[in-house]
Amino acid sequence: MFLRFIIRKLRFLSKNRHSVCDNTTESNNNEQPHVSTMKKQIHENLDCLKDMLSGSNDLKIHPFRFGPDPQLAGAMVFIDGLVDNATLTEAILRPVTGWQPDKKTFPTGQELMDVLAQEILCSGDVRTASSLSELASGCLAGDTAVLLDGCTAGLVVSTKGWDKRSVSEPQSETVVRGPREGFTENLRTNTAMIRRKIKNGQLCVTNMTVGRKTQTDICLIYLSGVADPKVVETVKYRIGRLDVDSILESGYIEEYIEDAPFSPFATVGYSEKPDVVAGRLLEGRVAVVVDGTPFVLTAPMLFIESFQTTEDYYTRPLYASMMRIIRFFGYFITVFAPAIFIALTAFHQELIPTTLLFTIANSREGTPFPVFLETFVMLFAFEILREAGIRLPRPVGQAISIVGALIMGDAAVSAGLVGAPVVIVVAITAVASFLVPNQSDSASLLRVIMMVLAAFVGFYGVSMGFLAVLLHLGSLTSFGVPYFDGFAWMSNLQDSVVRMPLWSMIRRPKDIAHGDITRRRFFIPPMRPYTLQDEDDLEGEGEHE
Amino acid sequence: MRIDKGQISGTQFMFSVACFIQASAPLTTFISAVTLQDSWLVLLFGAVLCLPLIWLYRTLMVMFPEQNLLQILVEVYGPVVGKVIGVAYIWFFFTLASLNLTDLGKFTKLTIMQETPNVVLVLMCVLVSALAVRNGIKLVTKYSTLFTIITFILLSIGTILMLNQIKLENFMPMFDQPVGKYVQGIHIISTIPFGELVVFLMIHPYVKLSRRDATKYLFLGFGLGVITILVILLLNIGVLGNLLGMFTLPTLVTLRLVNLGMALSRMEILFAVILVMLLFFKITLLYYVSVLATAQLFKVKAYRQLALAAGALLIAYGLTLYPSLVEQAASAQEIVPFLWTPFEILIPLLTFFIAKLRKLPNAKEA
Amino acid sequence: MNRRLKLVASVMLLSMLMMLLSGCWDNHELDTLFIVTGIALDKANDSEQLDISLQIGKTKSNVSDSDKSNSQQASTIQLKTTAYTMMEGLMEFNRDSSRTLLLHHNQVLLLGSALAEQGIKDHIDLFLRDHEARMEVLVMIADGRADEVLSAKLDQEKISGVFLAREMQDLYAVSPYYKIRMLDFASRLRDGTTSPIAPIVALKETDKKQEIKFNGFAVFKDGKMIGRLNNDEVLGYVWAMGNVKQCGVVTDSDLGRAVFHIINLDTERDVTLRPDGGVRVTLTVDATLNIGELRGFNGMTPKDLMPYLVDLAQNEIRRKITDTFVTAQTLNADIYGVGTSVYREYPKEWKELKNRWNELFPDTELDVQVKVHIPTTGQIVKSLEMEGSKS
Repeated sequence: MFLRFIIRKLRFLSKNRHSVCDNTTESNNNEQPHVSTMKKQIHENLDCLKDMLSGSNDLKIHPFRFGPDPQLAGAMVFIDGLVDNATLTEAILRPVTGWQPDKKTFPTGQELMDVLAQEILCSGDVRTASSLSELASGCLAGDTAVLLDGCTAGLVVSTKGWDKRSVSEPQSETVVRGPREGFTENLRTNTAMIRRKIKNGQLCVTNMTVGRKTQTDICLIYLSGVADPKVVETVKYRIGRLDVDSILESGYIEEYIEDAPFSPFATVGYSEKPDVVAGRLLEGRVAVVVDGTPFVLTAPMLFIESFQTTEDYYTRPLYASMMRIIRFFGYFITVFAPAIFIALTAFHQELIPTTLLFTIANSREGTPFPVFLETFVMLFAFEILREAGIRLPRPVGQAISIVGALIMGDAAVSAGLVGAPVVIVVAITAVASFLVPNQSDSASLLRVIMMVLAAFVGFYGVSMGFLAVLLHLGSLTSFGVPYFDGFAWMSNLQDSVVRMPLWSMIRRPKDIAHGDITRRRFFIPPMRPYTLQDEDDLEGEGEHE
Repeated sequence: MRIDKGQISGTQFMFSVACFIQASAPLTTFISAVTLQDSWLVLLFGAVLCLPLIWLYRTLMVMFPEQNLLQILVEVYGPVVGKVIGVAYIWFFFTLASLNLTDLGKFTKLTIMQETPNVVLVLMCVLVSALAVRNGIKLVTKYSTLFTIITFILLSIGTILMLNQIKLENFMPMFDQPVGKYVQGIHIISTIPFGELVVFLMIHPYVKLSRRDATKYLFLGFGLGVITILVILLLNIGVLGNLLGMFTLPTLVTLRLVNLGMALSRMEILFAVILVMLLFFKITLLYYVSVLATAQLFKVKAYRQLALAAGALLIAYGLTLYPSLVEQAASAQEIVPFLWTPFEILIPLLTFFIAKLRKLPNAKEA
Repeated sequence: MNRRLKLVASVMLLSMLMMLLSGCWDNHELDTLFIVTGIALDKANDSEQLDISLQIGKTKSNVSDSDKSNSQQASTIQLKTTAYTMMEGLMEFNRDSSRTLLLHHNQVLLLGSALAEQGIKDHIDLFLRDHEARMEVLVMIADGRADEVLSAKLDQEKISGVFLAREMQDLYAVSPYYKIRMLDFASRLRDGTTSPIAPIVALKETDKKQEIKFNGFAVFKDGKMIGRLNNDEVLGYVWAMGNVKQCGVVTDSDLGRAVFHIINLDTERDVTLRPDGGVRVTLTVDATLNIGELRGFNGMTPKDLMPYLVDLAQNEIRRKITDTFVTAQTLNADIYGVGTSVYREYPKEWKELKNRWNELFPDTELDVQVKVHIPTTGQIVKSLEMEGSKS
């Protein structure tokens, strides 16, 4: 109940913390020793660079001479392993060493640098850098720095080429029907995959870099004209004001930009599949792609989003609606089933039909612990098994789950430690929690709270807990969008509890999309066999509408 | 001027009205004990007689679209008298909230939690309510739609299951009781569930409404609420017959009688759900209104800070108000209707006439 | 800021403490409960006191090894005591037993016939007042001692309370008027003129086997049992009330014996005031029957037979209804609620009639009009013996 209060307090705290950080940032930047401008002598520059990269051994410096009667000196600096050797040779080494100027006189200094960049190098991405730190960060990103003797600038040539995982089917979101590709750890691959889904100039990709130490690249992707500019600004602002030393996964970003850090419900969505992200972009959401992780964040997130899977839109509407309703039931069961069971058996025996009561009572007879403890321990055991199943190598994991689930459960019942109904309830709770994987963390938290409430005040506690959860959900917002409104009757009713046919979803979700809100032109039901005359009638009707 | 920045839509307003009236439905004793098998007729008469009253509220809402009740009072009666009446209204809202809170506690105790102390039940409810109150009007009314629809669904389930037990002859004879009883019944029904709608004069500035919509939504909500109470009354009368007046909670007894085979029985959980849900809504709304009114009267900017303190006061007040259920029932039948009349009927009426005489809303424009 | 944090922490701590301390007033684990499935009340030796007997369904652990010995043990526990009031008895049970009593699942309230004759009005207050008392509890009268019936060991069901509830549920499908719940019983007790009735069950012992037999209805007046209807008269009563769904009509005539099966029987009751101040009841029975079984009727053609059978059935239904009504009048017990019907039709006159109802009821005229339809003849059209069956 005091959750919001606490959240506010903590938000206040975090605000203060950030303002403190802002001050330190500047001083940190000043501390950096090697911002010095470049010298004329190439040796000095190279020494300086070496120094900046702590003299690491994987920093390769390749000096070369070129020009007529090789009299010009230069050096390539790169980090071994981050560059593609073939590119390095083809783009820099071969053209440079093979260069023969026609004229007798050839440029020197800055002029030579320009000629090199514009005429000689065979690369699509060459930048001039005037400071050593720029060169250093280029090297760290996998590019190659080219320095010339007698020149106070350097070139950064893109030669990125490290080993990466190829596109494969994602582990976390498997589908029966739908594309099987998933994001990879490589930022550019990911943005390209999204672009391939939405070939539209409105798709706006904005680069940002976060992390003092990790210098992680981040891409903000949204459909301009569809996404709410306010949301885009908010996301930009929240990421922009980050001053942290490391971003290793998109989870870091999520935690820094979400609205309600202490709510059991996540207010930022994520996905591993390009089609999911593309779908959300088309609804007007903003995606944040983080280098080094296949999980792409999307915001704003609505509660209903956890219950929508892409397959809903790939299968036919009736079946998709049924599955969605089942998912809602599943979520309800996984949160409330143990609590309701406890409330019924320990508090409100009068609500159980007589025959069923005897069945349950028979199984409870002789079990040593109160039903709350029993359920709690069993659920705890389930969580242990699940965690073990995830961490262990796959073949062993299966063995563990069989031993754990089947043998232990059966032994516990036949030893009289646990009643059979408890095992059934725990099993259905556990299985149901997999129906809505996105909300399984909130479910397990709420489940425990509900169980405790049920154990103390029975049904009254459960219903008060339910109301509190409803109110909490109602008070949440995600980037200014009411979190729970997908359910409420205002917006986007075609795609909430049931999934209406695609041709009836004419508009994008009202809360999220902005500007270009029309998704489809008309209410166009699929064609049915008709004669030519009918077609005229149909069109006439359409115009009439 | 406004303390709470939230806004609600017309439909939400309508369902809030419906839900507010429905909240009296589970506890129909206050009327069914008086007029027995004619209660449903009395309810209908009462509803019809209350239409002018609702029209009066609606007129005030339209006349002062930007001001809530306390502001209207100050505007009409001047700062001193207006504020004195305002204080009385705060007491009225507070008492209503406390009464409903005790109702929730006592009836929950009676139905599902016999041994748990009242304080615990009431405290939990207030804490959850405070969560909504602190978030403002939007959250307070947000789930009225949901609650209304759930109530209708559960009620129709209950009715379908009970259909075979309804005896039509239980409704006979009509108009068999002394006229005084009917007058008393109508008075009770118009003051207790219907007249309490006066609280909506406190929140109407938050509603985005035109003149026509205000009328439509207010009356639609009223109609929905009346239908719910009517269904429950008909069910109770049809099933319980001459024992109707005997039980403290006729609806509970009725739903306990559901028995379709051995499996589909013991449906009182439906009653408990409806009771807790609807009363929770009513309490939250009244709680919100009392906090809002207090904050406004004493010019406290941050009404949120008041919420928990007011909640504590509500509990203390509610627990000491009536020592027993018997006294409360007696007072609900005999004292309360007369006590509420000025707040619900006389003052709004007077305000309306004075405002008309002084041509107030127009004067403001000029 | 620090102070605020402290405040938050203390509020959270307090609310958690509240939860923990509040713990479990209503918490009753299932293995600390006795699930009461039947209550029997009998007249004690001291006529002021009651013999109270509770039947408790015994729960058996699924996992114990000694399954065989378990199956020979009784599946119920019988608790007995003698007390002035029901509540005192319950308090004594709760004190002396290892578990708390759970009355919510009580199926039946059995009253010994001796107690019923003495008067039961004083003893059922608890069954209406207590929050664990439910209105759907069945009320039955035991022929003889109620606790004996309750402790019967039956083949069909392990728990006799459940047996009685199931039997009544079964009869309920025949006619809702068979099933007398606490609600119906109390409603009639409160009504003033209508006589409460309750089914009578009797214990039959035949070579080591115990059986519970349905044995008519007990008729009450002023809270005392004043007589009974036998099984035939019960049929007459049920038919008079109407809404019968499946029930046999047995007729006997010179030509043969015919048994009908009621598909649907509805009765409309019309009450009028006679000019001489008495009351006249008109029952219009509309019955749809099936031919169940025929014996005899040799030499009759189906064409002749059908009207004859309709006539037989009509007479039989009329006879039974009239017989029962006469019995009720002899007992001067208005089991039909005729008085209530008069009240509902003539509320003004009733105020005066009400006080004279004891004189008026025996004087009430009954007019029964029966209409029988036999739409089908079952799977065969003609019996073996019938005329024309050889063709």
